[in-house]
Parts: sequence; C-alpha cells; structure tokens
Amino acid sequence: MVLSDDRREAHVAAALAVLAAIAASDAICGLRLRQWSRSDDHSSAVALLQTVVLHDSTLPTKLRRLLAEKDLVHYSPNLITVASARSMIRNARALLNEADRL
Amino acid sequence: MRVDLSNPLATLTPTLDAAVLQVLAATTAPCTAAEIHRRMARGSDEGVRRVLARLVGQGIVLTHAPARYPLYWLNRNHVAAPLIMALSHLRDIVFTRIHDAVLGWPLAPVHASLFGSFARGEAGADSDIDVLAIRPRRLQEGQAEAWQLQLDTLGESIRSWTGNLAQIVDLDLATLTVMVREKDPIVDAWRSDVVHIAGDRLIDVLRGVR
Repeated sequence: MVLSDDRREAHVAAALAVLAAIAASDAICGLRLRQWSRSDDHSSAVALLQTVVLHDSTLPTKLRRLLAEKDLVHYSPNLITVASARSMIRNARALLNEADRL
Repeated sequence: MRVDLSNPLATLTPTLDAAVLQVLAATTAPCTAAEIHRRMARGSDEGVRRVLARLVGQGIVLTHAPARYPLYWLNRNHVAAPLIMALSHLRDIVFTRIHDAVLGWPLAPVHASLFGSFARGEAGADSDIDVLAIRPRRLQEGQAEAWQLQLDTLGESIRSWTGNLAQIVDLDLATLTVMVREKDPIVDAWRSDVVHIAGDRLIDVLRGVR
C-alpha cells in the first residue's frame, strides 16, 4: 500500500492494518495449531501466536504493538501520524506474509 | 518422488508417526495426546498414544506428567529434530526457492505469484504448482526468448525441487486487460488465492488494467 501524506487516509489505513494483522494471526494459528484465539482479550492472541513455530519469530511482538494501537486507531478522534501508520502497515504485512507462506 | 505438500513428513513415512511429528514440529507448547489427535484430525486416540509412546522411547519426543494427562513436545536437541523441522516446513522452503529464483530473473516481471492448491495450502502429491507470471511492459527484441527461458528454467527447477509439475501462466498486460474486461472467472480465483512473489501486488495490477 502506498500512503499519501493525508493523515486521515493514513489513520484509516492503520485501522485496517490492525484488523488485517488480527486476521493473519488467526490464520497462522488456525493453519499450524488448528485453533485460534476466541477471547476478547487480545493478549491471549499474542500468547497463542507465541506457541507457533514461525519463520519470523518477531511476529508476536509485531502483533502486540499493533494491538496496543488498536483503541487509538479505532476509537480515538485524534489522528495518528503518517509515520506511525506506515510502521503499523509494515508490521501487519509481515504477519500477512507469514500466513501466505504456511 | 512427489512431495505431499500438505503433509510433507509423509514423504518419508506415510504413517501416523509423520502426522504426530508434524503437529509437534508446528508448536513450541507442550500438548496432551488428545490435543495432538485433535490437531491431526485423523487416526485413533489409541493409535496416537501408541505412536507417542514409541517416539518417547526413541527420545525424539519428550513427556512430562504435571497433572492427570501427560504433556508431549518435540525434543529440539535431538539430532533428528532439525530434519523433522525442515520437512515440516517444506512448503515454506519451496516458496522461498521460487521467490529467490524469480527475484534473480534478469527480466523482472510486472507481477509474479503462486495460485491454486499450493497457494491455498491444499496441495497433495499429485498437485501441480501454479505460477502466474505477468511480462514486463515492453520487451525489447530478443527479450521474449529470454523471458521464456526464465519461465522454462523455473518450471524445470520446481519439478526438480518437488517432483510436482509446474503450470506457469504467462501473460502480458494486454491479455490480462481482455480477461478482466470479459470477466474471466480465473481472474477472480487469482484475486482470492494468490500468494505474492514479486513485482506489483496483483490487486494494483488489476486496478491498472481496468
């Protein structure tokens, strides 16, 4: 994804990146463990992802960082910076790439 | 030998042992026998327990009984563990080889991806490995043959790496434009299936040819 310098667009893209990362993490856990986190507590999704043998072992940390920003991008009226959005999209893409490889 | 890419350990041993090892190789967390059986989705509970007992005897699986049900995990210090881990990740290894081969092409594609059963993780021993390759925008004279040679070499390499046939769909942008305009159903299949290898994302390519 190529982001413009518009912070509103960046904010929406970052919000979607969080959802994509959660879906990718569920896909990874589903494919490797035949289970995924059904809890409302997102830290349990990170804990489950940590039990998967991953090509990129930094993915649980990336997911944790994205989830830490979830409330900000989904519920806060304050726009995040374009740089933050780019970083979130990079992290989400890493999770999607791993899911693609399984 | 063709590789069963959905259950690669079965390449060496088509028994329940392969499925048990495949489950244990995928996780760092200890599992009960019942959990291993659930994740395998085949065999009997009794059969899984017998296999686990044998693998524990061979030292490749470790066990501990902190409560009523014993827990099992792969002994990653065992000399056979790296081989089991590599076999359980064959799909990833095949993907990486194809990815590296395409990145090394002198004529870079507009887009390259995997699609079909291999991309969906459903490939069996008889499955082809499907590759979509979209040609560069302007091929100079003589480059068409070089492009074709790249594809032939990749096809032969895939056959050599896996034993499975490669089916390479070779398109130029003009043909893709017609396929999009005529709503060819395979384009929708690509949209949902493709695993990106190189070049622009397919969604961006399709947006550009509408």
